[in-house]
Amino acid sequence: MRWCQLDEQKRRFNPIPIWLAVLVSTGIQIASVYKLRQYSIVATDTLILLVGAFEVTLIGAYFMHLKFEQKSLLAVALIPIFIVGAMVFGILASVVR
Amino acid sequence: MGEEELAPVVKSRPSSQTAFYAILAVLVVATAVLVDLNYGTPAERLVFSEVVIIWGALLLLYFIFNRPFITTGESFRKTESWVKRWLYTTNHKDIGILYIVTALFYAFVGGMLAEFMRTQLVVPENHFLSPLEYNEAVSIHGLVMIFWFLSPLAFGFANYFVPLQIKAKDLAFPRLNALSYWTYAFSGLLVVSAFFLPGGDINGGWTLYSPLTSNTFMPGPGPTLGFAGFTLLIGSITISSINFIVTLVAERGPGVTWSKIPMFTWFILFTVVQMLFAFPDLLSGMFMLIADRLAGTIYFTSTAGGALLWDNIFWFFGHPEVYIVLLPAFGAICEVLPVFARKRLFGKNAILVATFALVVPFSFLVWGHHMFTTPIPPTEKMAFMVSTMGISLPFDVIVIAWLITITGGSLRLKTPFLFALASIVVFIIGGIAGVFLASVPLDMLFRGSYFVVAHFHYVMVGASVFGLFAAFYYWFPRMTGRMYNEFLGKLHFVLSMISFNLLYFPMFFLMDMPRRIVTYNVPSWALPNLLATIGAYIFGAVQFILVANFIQSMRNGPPAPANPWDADTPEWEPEHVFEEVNGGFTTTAKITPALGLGAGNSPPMAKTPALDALRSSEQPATTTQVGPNVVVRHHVSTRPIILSGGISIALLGLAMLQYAYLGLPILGIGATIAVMAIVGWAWDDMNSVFRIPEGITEKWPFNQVSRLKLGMWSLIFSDIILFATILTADAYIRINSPTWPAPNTLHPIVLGAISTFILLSSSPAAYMALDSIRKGSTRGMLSWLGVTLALGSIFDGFEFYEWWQLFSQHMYPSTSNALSTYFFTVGIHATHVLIGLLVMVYLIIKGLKGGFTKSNHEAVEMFGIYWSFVDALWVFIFAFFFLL
Repeated sequence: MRWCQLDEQKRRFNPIPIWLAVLVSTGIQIASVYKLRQYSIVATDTLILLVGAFEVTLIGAYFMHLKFEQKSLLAVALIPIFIVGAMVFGILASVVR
Repeated sequence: MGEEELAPVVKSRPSSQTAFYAILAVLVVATAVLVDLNYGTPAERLVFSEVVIIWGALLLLYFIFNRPFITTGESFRKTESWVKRWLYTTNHKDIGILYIVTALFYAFVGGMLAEFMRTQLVVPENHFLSPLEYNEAVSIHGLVMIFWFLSPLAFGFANYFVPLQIKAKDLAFPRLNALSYWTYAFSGLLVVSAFFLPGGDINGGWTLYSPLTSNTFMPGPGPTLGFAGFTLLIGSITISSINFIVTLVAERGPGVTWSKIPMFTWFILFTVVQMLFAFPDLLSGMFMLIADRLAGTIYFTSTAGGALLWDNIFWFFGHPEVYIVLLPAFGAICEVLPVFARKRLFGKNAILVATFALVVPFSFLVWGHHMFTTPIPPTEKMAFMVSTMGISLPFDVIVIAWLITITGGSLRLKTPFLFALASIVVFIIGGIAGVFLASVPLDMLFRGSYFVVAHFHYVMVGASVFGLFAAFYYWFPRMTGRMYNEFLGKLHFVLSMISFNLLYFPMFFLMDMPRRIVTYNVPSWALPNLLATIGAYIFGAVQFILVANFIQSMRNGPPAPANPWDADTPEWEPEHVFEEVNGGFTTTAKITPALGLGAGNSPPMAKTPALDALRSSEQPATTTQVGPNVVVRHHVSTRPIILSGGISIALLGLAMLQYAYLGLPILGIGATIAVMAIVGWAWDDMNSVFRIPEGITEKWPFNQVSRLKLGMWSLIFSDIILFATILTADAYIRINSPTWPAPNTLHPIVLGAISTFILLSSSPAAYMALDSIRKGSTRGMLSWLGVTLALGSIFDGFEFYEWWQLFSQHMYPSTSNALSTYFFTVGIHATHVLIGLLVMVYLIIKGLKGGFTKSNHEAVEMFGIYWSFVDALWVFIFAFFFLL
């Protein structure tokens, strides 16, 4: 049995709900620009970024198959997140004066 | 498999290939000559350049359909010549040797530049070099020594010995390994050849501080070519990092658990992890820099970005780079000390934990100490001061462990040990000087002075080079089968140690002399500079002792015993012959030095190939008689060298674009060659000429992850850093900009929303392609791949449409910060999409030829992961430019 047959069944999912969730999320982002931004730019931008993070999580988990991978691969995927966090924080901190 | 089975079915080299090369050469030379002579009118030259491009396109089509560069076993089994072996090899030992020799060549180049600099500074008011020449020498010396000498020398040893130490057959991706080497070799040539182009070479220091490196202050194609060469090198390093990570995780031989991995290999692992995450940051910086120079973006030339943005991007990479250079030498020292002290390495686990848990992560948290004299907030300076002082602690652990190891040992004062000891001594001196620089107030005094020059040369030259010299002498018998001359080795050590300190120690007393001045007239600086220059001359000259010793010893040295130092690491053990025997494998081969100059007192082998080079019988191979009874099989591919050469020529053309009649044809020719090599590469894969075996790694912690998937995820990790840097730079500029267009003013949300809908819809399509082939439906897979291809193409079409709309309104990258960041970021993303589209075309062609089955479709899954990653990136880009 080849490697890709090992847990083939576990790796299958229906992509339509995930796709719809991502599209609806994008819709929420767009709607927030038109409906929410006039009240609070900070709140709107925060919402847009959080929803964007949710979308990326869905894409990563399902379409990039992270949900079906070994936890160790998921753990390693956190390393660049840590580095990115340090970089974003450090670089943007040097702007705030 | 015996040698007889390799009997060649030789196809003579098609005369068309020779004709192709000849035509290419004539065209390049003719183009250069005609343009150089300013021949004809601009219109005539334009016509000529177009003719060249059309020629290139026709040749491309011809060679695609006639497949001239096929490296089938048939046509290349006869590749027995010495030159071809080294040009086409993918064997890890050969490539290791190539790295070492090439690194020494670049050391010679960088060393000559250093001698020029020291000659300029030998006395006050000297005019040996002009200011521009001096700046070029300083800049290229730093770049070449760090990036084309130190790290590649270490990776020469890593290529050779890591697979041996983990009992692997080769690196996980041998052709990519060759590609890494050739891109490295060519990239250095690009940087060095930039001296001869208009504008000269890079002259803004090895830190490439922008806007000093912008068109305003450093115009001309020369510096652009230097930056392009440097960018190519980063590509090489990224490929190499991924290759080593996958190798170390997935290719370890049976029984080689993590706890049994030798220290050198551990330190290479730490190094490549840092490389994987540090270099993409610099890569994005280089892209921005080149875009500023060629495409008119204003990342570093506007006040919103500028010098502080470059500082942040460069040093976020720059400090890990110090450890990237240092750690392989530390690994070598960890190998040498216990062997020559005849004791076990003290505190092995403490060293590993200190390095992996502290040095590696902390290296990404200390970059701000290079910016204490910039206007970053005081709080941030304090944070970086604390983290910088903290990172010295794990190094204390390492040094103390080394000292305890040799204390009370039965020391053998051989050359490798002496160099290892010297490395520790100078590292301590350089390290202590570094602690001063971690302090904000002291750094204010020392920054930009020769004190800093002394500090980092003690660390990077002393500790690193001496450590690698130790490795050189230590492994020389293993690589050549001969012993080196011990007297010459010790002479090299003594003179190196004396001249090194004569060169750099006086610089500690030049703490009031600025490090980047071309001349001086301060009397008190004269003596230290004179001493340093004398030291530089001696230090440079004595390195020829090493070269002479090795050349002489390779030819006439006494045969080396199989294990001359009584070491207990696996590279000294008999090599394994990787022949499957009922699920296991047998060990029959003996030590086989890559340089093929004798196998010491190893017992003769009866026609047994050294199967360290063997990956699969399907791969093309050539044979080389390396001893009376030793035959080494080499797996060859012409693709890496041709691809690297094509990319290099294309980059030369790119740098020359401002001279359109010269740049365009060269760019076209280079791109043609590169595309041909890529097509050939794909052809090889499609026909399993050079097949990487599938399979899960079966190694903790990635027991169920395939090698390709591990490689793909490593690539994605590095791409995450690349895009994070770009988006962080965008955010930085946005925060610093006095104004920024509100949503829906510059970029219509509707257009962006449609693009987003299209791209996000392509991910499920890519998944459906995978799901179809999992069910065995090739037709379904092809249909869904077609849908994905169409959606991706439409998405890129929308992006180009929006670009065209902006251009038609006279909105260019140089118009504003908002447009600069938009064009650049979307452009990089669109390039990713384009790469995905090309991969899809390949998958569809392979699928049409029946290349994927229910049980063999890993490439489709890898593509899906990449494609979805590109989609995920767009989510942030869409939000940043259209919604926020």
